[in-house]
Amino acid sequence: MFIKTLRGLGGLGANELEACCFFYVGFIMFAVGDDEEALKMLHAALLKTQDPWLALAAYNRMTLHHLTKNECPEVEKLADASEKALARVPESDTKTYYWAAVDYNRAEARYRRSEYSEVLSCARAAQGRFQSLGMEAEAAKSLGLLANAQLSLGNIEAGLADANEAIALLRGQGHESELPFILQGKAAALVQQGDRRGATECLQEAIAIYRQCDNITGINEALAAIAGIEATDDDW
Amino acid sequence: MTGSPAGSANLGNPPETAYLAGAGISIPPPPALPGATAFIEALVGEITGDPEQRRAILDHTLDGGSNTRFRGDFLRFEAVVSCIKFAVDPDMELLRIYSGCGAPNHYHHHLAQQLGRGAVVLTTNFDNLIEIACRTVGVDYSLVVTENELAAFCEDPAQFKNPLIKLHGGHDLTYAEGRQSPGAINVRATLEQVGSIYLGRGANHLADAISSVTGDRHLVVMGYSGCDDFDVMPCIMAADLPRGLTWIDHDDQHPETVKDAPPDRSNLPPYQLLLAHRRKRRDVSVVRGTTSAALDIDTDTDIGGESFDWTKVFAEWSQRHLRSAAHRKLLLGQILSLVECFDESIAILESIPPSELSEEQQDVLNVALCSLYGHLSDSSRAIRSLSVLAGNDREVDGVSLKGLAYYNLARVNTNLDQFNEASAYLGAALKIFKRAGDAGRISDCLHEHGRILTGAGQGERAARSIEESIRLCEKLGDLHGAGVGYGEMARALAAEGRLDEAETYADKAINLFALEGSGEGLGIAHHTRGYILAQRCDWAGAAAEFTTAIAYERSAQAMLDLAHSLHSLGDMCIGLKEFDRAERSLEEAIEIKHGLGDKDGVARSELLLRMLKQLQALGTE
Repeated sequence: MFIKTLRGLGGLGANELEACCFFYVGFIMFAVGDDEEALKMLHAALLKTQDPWLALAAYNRMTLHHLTKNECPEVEKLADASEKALARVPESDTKTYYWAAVDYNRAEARYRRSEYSEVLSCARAAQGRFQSLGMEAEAAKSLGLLANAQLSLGNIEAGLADANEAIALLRGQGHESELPFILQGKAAALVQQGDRRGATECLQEAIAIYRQCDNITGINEALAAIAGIEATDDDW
Repeated sequence: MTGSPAGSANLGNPPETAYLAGAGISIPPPPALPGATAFIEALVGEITGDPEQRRAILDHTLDGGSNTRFRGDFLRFEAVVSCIKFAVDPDMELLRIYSGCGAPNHYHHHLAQQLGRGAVVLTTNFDNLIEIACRTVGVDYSLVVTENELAAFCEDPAQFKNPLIKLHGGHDLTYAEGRQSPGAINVRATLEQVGSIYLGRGANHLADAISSVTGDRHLVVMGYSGCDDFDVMPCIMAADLPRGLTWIDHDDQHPETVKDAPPDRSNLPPYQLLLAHRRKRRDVSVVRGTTSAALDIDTDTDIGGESFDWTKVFAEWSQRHLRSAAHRKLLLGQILSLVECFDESIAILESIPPSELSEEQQDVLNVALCSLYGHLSDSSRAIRSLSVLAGNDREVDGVSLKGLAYYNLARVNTNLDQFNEASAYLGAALKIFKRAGDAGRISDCLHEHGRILTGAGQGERAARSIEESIRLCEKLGDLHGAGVGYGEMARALAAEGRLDEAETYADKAINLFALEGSGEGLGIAHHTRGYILAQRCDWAGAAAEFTTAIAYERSAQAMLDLAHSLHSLGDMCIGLKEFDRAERSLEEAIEIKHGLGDKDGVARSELLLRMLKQLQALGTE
């Protein structure tokens, strides 16, 4: 997608080429961990460019940064800006991809702010768009987000069904690293249903996956959840 | 110092005298038994050839390089014995170094004769040399060792003919009628055992026995350094001593009665006792000089007996209990943790291939690691390692490994201000320990719960939880737990504005940690005292306390605590307008917090540093 975007910039004027350079340097700065400088470069690129594709690519990368930092209002602002840019480009798979990404990022930001009812439509839209592009892993991830939002809203039956479907899809595609988030949501629902053993198994699986990528925060959260279950469990 | 000649005439006649004999009387040959330092030196020589590790441990002994007596970094004999018992020798066969010796010297013979003439003898020794001497000279004796015997003695001393009271028990007890009682059951040598006497609120038969003896007899102390601060020494300090006491401070000179404590020895137990009892106008005197001359014991005549080589017994013990590198590392790792070399201790313990240990010793290894990980400054590493141990369902001596891992995970999360996770871990740990009836660990959990509540601003609830924890620790004799509890109580009370009560608890914590030898604990306790003084707006006093805390925390490599104390010192120095010192402290705090990944802490210290710079700028203008 990135290469395609850059190729699309061929033959543009000096400003666009300068914007392209800023954009490219910004990406590199993110890669080397200098986020502050990277954001400066992407902002500079956005000031120079008139090209909605370049803007969309920049917004998308900035969104990833703000999601990582849990800066949800920034994500919403970038999603709004992306929608404006999307209105200026013709229909294509690339456009569908950016729409799906905007939907997903919006859904995730809202989930993090516990605005669960606001998650549903975005997550569903993202799932549909990713599916139409044949991006099954992303579609399954969106379904997982939808499932967790449902579970948080108390729609346990629907939520569990979506969670199980998402888990099966991600497993089938070998995307285990995306599973812990859904497994943790499912575990919380199973606890509510009184299935503590099932919940613990989900959390243990999540921990095993977190261990593979040495995600300490994930291990700690999931293990604390198991401890929480054990602390209140009188049935075993 | 003025002195006067001293001799046996000053020390009363046997029916009115009790003798307290310590390890020093068994050092002259033929027994030639090792004192505490010699014993630790031999042990360390056996478990490591690394000069750095040896120095790290031996510098902390009583006679070590840094003269650390009565400071927090003193390695106690009792703590080393606890490690040995826990790691490699649960039956404490090591004490056969002492009980295996069968050749008494003139001091043992003298005491046997005094017993026969109506004296009472108390001893802290694990050897049976006074008993053997009694049999040699034909003196009957009554051994008073077990709790039941001590209680019966206190009730009616007259029923015990020629009582020989073994205050720390023994491994191979030999009663006069020939009955033997072997094994660790009658030994009171570990830190936990002496701690329970020190803190115990129930019947303290040892104190009662000492008090019963000194109630109607003059006490003569010989060969005893008084370093067992938890049981015998406090009992002597607290005893009324109506018939007085004479302490022979053994020295290679003609004995003389010392009137004042020599400046270089004023911290030593005999002189502390002298000063304390002088204030109470009691008849306490210290005789400095050769013990044999002070007591008129003829050490020139040959009493026979083959010279005893304890190193042979030690070598045999070592062959059995430290037979492989894995066993030596298991013990070394634990002893290094006693002198607060936590990182090195973990590295050594983690390097042991579990397959080279028995199943029980693998459990011991895991328990040790579990407790050590809680001390790591690197919280990610701590969580990673503890989360693995949390999957282990085994129990070690009634302690659940899983419960211990959860408890330490709670501690790590509390340190990170992640109170939800900490509460979840703690709840599970508490449940496991309650199910196992593990009172010691229940107390730890209650204390940790108090920390969480303090962190959440619920001071009153925190105080209740900590108080309950302290009660359990005192009952169990858990010195460290009680010290930590006192400190935490001080913080909870200070947060409620009850500063007088808080200060009393902080002082109690400092006292206990100094006795136990915990530099890390002392650091935290002094920090707490500094916090209380700061609340009283006594900036200078608080700065002094934070400086002391920093010294202990630096020595114990307790980096997170060190960073907190440096921040607090910086804060106080700003109040005192010592801007350069404040800047140095805050910059070091920031550097350490950066290293630990404590972003919030960095932000707090940076904010204070910015304020300081503004103040400096205003001052310049």
